[in-house]
Amino acid sequence: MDILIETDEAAFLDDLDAARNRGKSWKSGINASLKELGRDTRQGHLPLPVVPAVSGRATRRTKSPGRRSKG
Amino acid sequence: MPPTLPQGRILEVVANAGLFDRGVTLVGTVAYQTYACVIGAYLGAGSYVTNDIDLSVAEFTGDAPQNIGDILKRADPQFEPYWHANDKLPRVFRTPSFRVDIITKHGRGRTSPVLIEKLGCAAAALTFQDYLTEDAMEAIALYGPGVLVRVPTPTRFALHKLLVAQERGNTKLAKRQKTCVKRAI
Repeated sequence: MDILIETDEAAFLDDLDAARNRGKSWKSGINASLKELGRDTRQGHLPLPVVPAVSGRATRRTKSPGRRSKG
Repeated sequence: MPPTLPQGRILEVVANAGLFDRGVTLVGTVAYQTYACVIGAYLGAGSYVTNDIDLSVAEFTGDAPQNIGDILKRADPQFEPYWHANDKLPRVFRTPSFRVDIITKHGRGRTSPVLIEKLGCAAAALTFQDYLTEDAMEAIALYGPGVLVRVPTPTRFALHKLLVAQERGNTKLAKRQKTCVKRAI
């Protein structure tokens, strides 16, 4: 499974979700096995952590390091 | 890892008889051993040696009948059918040191074994076999000049292991499957 994820993670996760969506027993069976194996591959989770946007105040823009002011 | 000599001989006679073209799929450890070439990576558990071959016959296409017992005898004349009580046709073929199991998917009545008269045998119906053998692919077993076999896709093989590991109908089997999953990972 590690190798399959390493080779083509998106395809593997798609197939994993497709198998889970075949029925309740399929979903519970797969999830139970993954849990026993200590895996946290779960449906609906994004692969990367996303920082929530701060609401209310605009954030201060910073200059990009490559840009110089004239003069 | 290449198949052992008895495994290779069996795969060769089954392939030469055209059974992989007619719906027979190689499953189990010997199928797993072909994945190193398919994925392009070393599979540590591929060295797991087994003395059996599992052939899945989800459907057997074509009109010409064949006899799996006769075909297996071409690989080793010691192959004999192993009869269980109430078997009308055999679903296991054995030599003193090797066995071939014929398995299939569950039919409408969910009865087991299922007769495959065109192949002269029966097959043990197992859960999730239809999922395993759908979209099967061709692979090369590294025996002699190479044997073209039909195996499940690696992804389905892995997911099938996850599914059957939770089956509690046969504790011994479930434990064995779990071990396979852990080994595969």
